[in-house]
Amino acid sequence: MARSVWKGPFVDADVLRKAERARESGRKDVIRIWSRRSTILPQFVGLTFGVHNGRKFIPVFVTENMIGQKFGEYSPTRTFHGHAGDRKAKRS
Amino acid sequence: MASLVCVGAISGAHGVSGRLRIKSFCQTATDIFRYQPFYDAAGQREYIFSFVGSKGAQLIAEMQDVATRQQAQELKGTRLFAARHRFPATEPDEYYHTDLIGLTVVDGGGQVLGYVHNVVNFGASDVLEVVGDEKRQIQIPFTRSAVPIVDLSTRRVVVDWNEDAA
Repeated sequence: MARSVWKGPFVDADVLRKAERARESGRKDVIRIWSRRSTILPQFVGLTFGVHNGRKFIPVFVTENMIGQKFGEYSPTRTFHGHAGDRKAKRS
Repeated sequence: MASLVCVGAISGAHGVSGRLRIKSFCQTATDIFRYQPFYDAAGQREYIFSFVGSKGAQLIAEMQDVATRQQAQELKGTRLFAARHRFPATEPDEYYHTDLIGLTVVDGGGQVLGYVHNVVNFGASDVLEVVGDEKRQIQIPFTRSAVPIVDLSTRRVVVDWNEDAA
């Protein structure tokens, strides 16, 4: 069941605080967070979060199309390493 | 022999007329047939297939001189390698994973941090998995700010990344 709209998006307070501090300082360091349940807000766009997956911090560079989703969606707890094949990586 | 890249594998026989099931490791599964001919790991034996169709994630193909199910079964497990030069050219700021894997990673001061072990994408952006001293892993987002220089000619990646900052 979807979350009621009147409640607004859920974000852990420390995530908001860390993001605000990073934005004010203008530094581009990774912001380490454990809160996988927090919603990605518009003010996080352009920041890089290190989202903990239980073992390590996965860097998540936030872009506009990620707004409204949870941080945990971008930091899988189970990884499958396939073959490189002809896969390409784009430097964003 | 030019450098070879593993692009697929024969996963078994399909039917009784010697058709083969092929597992593709390519971004678009059917693109594998654009990189023919295939070779074995040593680059000695050549394989050429004709695409028949697909069944789920598997591709069905025929190969000359393979006419029975038993012949097809014998090829099960064969990994298919394609010549790297057959891959199409990339756009600016786009790199094949196979080109990035193995590059030496250095910081702005020239200190070696390790080498690129893998390139992964979990939905956000591409991430370089760098393995350094004592198998220590560093995850670096593949962005222009974090990875300002990718030099394939000197097989070196310069990163501007402070892993310990939080």
